[in-house]
Amino acid sequence: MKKMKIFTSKKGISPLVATVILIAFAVALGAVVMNLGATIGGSKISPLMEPSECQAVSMDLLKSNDKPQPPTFGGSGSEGFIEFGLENIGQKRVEKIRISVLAERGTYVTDLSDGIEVASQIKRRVPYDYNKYGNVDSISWTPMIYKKGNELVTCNQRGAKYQAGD
Amino acid sequence: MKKGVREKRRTDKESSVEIIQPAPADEQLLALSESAGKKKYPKQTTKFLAKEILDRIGYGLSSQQFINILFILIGANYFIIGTINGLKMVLGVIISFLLEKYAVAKGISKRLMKFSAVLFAFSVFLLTLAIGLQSLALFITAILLGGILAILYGNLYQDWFKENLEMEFRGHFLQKISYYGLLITGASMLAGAYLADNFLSEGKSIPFNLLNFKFDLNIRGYSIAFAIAAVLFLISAIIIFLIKDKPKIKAESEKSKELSILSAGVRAKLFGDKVIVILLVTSSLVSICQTLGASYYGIFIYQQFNNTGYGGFTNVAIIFLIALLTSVVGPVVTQYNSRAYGKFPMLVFGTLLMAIMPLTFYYNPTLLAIALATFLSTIGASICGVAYGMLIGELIHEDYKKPFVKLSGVLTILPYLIFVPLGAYFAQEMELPLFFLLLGLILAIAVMPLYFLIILMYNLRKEKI
Repeated sequence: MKKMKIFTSKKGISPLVATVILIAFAVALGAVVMNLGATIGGSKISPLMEPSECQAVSMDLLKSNDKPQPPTFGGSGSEGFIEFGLENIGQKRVEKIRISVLAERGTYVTDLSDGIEVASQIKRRVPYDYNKYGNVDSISWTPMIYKKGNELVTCNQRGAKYQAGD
Repeated sequence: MKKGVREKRRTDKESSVEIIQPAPADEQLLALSESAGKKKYPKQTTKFLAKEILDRIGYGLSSQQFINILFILIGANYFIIGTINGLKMVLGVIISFLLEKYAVAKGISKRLMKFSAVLFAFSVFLLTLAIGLQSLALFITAILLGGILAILYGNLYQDWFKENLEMEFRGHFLQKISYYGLLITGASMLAGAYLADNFLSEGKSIPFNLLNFKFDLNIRGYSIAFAIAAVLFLISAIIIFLIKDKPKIKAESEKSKELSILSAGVRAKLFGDKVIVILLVTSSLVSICQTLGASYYGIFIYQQFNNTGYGGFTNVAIIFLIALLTSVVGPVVTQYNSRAYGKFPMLVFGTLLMAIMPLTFYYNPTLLAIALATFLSTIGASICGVAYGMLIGELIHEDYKKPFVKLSGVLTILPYLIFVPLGAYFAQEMELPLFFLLLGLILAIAVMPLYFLIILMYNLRKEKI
């Protein structure tokens, strides 16, 4: 009888109790959302989730005495440039290279349209506007390859990275 | 027919500014014929309908999230993006306030509305040009100009629309335009994202000379989407010029009887009640967090999932399409639940739901989790909005409600000017995920206890009475 009374009673619950119930519900919802990828697999970027074509791709900065050579920065103002060397140490030709420069005043992204053959090296110079972007914090070189149907795929985990001060 | 009469009465009550009497010629034109069992709507309806559809497509193609992404692509940093978005909000509040005052004093200026519609279209053209020229200064100018004009045009247009087309002449589609409009905006947002991801992703450079200055216009898929949006806004503005105004007889303005926001009574009501003051502080804090979060969510999704899922812009469009569609069901859920749980608990619940989104960006940045978090967060924002409105209705007398809402808008300007740039600075200095953690924590740890405090104070006050 008591149980029935709970469901038929027209008395509301106090605001404080209602708040506690709703907080518990919201926390439970939040916990579910924040663990969703861990159980059913989302699209979190990890080497396991990248396109299978990327697995034969590997690119790094040119090495001297087994140490990667950092890029050199030249010019000044809007006439600046960044010079660097890259080598393809993977098993697949790199078709394009995306260069992303994280700088003081924003991110400068440019693509190098000439690729690198397997076991080959290149040295390139790209223009860089110091007035617009400021000093460089980090640079990443991301290889891009063709997959079936001539579609370009970016291999995020297979490129080279430079961090200022390293 | 009975239904039509009832709706007309409601409309008359709503439009309190002026009583409009159609001229005899207009009466003939606007006559609603049901003789053949099929309603015939006046030409005005078709024009309004075309204008609404064009506008909604334009909004989708030039979505705010796309603008934020393009902002970063042309070289802005997080600080500039957050600050400009905050500034746009502040300018919007100021313009709305001035407009309200102006409308009360001088009546609605149709000419201002029509020209602001044209200028708004040109501001989108300017935005397209800024993208093509990769000019940050021009881009910022276009965003601020567009923000001001959108508020000006939007507010004035709503009043003008109500004046010129009564409810019974609107037809089913125009009556439900807020719902259908969301669908149109969502579809065009997806189309815009598809254009941006799949057309001219390498860009096509068009050099040209203007007054002996060399320019290099870089055309990409997203420039095309924005250019289409600008053209659509321009056609929509031209349609407005083609709509004939109804002649009207001015009646005594009821709005002029409204209390001024600077009146002693309003100030006493506002600052004398601690519950209202804390409610204002918390709502400002939530609003600042929302503005900052919305400035960076799209950018984060674009950067993190550029090469995953459907492509950079399309991923962003899909996530925000979820938010768009959820915003329809949000208020319904809120009204039903606030009856069951009460308004204050719903406010706390809504805030916690809103905190899920930034926290997910930090703890579990996967597309699926972000999509679900967006869904919950939109419902949370809707819950907070509806519950806040209901609470204000309960705490403040009917006469003071309108001036209070206006004053609370104006009062948020100062915190916005201080805390939005500060938050944008944190976003620049910390990495985005860490900044999202900070936003989530502010919502969950700072705002929620304030709401708790409000509940306790309100209950104590009730017991005393």
